[in-house]
Amino acid sequence: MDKQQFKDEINDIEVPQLDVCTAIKKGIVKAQKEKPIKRKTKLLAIPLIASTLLIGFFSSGFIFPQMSRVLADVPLIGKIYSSFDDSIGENLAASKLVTELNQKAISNGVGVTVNSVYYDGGRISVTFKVDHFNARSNEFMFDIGNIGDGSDKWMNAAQFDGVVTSDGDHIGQIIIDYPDKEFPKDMTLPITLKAINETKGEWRFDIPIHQLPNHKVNVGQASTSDDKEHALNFETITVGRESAVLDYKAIYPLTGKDDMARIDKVIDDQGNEISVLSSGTEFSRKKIGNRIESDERTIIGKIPNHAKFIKVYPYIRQSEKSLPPIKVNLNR
Amino acid sequence: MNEIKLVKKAKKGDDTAFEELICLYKDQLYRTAYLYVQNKEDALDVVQETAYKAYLSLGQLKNSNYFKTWLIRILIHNANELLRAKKKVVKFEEISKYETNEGPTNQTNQMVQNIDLKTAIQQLDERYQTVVILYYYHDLAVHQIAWYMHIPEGTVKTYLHRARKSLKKLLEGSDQTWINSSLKMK
Repeated sequence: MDKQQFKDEINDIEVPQLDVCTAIKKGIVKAQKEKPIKRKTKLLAIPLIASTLLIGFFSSGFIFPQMSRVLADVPLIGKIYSSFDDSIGENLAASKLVTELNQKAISNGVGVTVNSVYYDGGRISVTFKVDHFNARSNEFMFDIGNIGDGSDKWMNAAQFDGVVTSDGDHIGQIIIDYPDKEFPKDMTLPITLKAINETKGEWRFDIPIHQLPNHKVNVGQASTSDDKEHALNFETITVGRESAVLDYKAIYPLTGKDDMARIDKVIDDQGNEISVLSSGTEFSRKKIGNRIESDERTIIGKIPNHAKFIKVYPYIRQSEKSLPPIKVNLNR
Repeated sequence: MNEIKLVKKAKKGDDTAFEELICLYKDQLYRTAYLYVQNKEDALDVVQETAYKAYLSLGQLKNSNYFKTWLIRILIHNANELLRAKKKVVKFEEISKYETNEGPTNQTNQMVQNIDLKTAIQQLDERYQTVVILYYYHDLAVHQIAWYMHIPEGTVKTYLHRARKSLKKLLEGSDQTWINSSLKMK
């Protein structure tokens, strides 16, 4: 009911139907001018190139039974990640860098099997399949009883999703942005599920996790606002396989105690935008003298292998200030 | 034709399907834009820019089921971009114009009430605005908002809690009972 009242209020905003349709048309026409033919040719080109490559591959004679099995396995794991729109997982699965697991727990007649995990840069993903359960919808919810050492920082760093695939499989994903500043290379991650939709139970797992190889660069550069009140001191960048971690110290004035530093945009050396996956994870915020210092982190998507540097655009929320972009050399 | 079929056709380059698809949500798009920018002209600009960017980046949408969420995300980004560019702040005092310049007709009272809620939303921090709009207006579940905003689910819950508190304070004395009723988490 509360939502309905809210909606009723907002639906009172009168929509100028004709003007909105015109605006949509104008937007499409503007886009068509920029990209008139590419959309169709691109779609045609991909299958052509792919089939040419496949014909070449299959006629080359480099096929043997083991390879066929490997090729068959990759789409299955990749499909799990595509169900969650997780491009990191999809690409890692395609490169066979996702660890397959088979840890099963049964509670209240419902089985949960943890079937894959990856730990790339600062991001951990755990996926699982639920058996003997029917969500009667194309999604389901689950509650976590415990992650990691059970402290709030783990729960706050986690995001969850549960979907029912077109094949009727109930699959869940837990993504955790590692909540401490220093990354362990290997760890055992305890996770306990305590409910799946309305079904209560206890599904307990100890999941072995290994960080994929990465490349850490000391940055040592700062971006300071024109009025010198705010600054971001970039410390390190940890370049993983499909994602990267930016660690920095944000400096706020005492008057800006509610300010939040965010990375608004990141581009590579060719000007291509790299997605910002999460920004503003805080490890500590301390008052030091007449300013506030805060250790913070941003996780971004894949930095192209060829990129020599990236450009990072910081932004301060609340004070609404854009800080000058910083060029971060990747020392490749 | 259902939405998924339209998305698939649009992705194959069918521009009519794309336009039909955007038009399915035109009211929600316009009203959401209006909540951010607070005037017709800017809201129309945000809608136009959203159609433009959505057309150019439709190929990046992997899961057709998420079209609406993806589109709203582009729209909110555009609205925030426009606000930042204009560094525009709608002051509460503007409401008083309606209260002092017009007589106490029913129509005016109705307008003041609506402006109250819309303006209160606009006064919220950008993050709180977004969770409130996505949760209450677009009906997204907490986990979907978390996914969409790239923040943990617990944080979404915290933002909703804080947003409700702020709205309650901003609308003190009004009859916005929805704020006082319990927040049902999905």
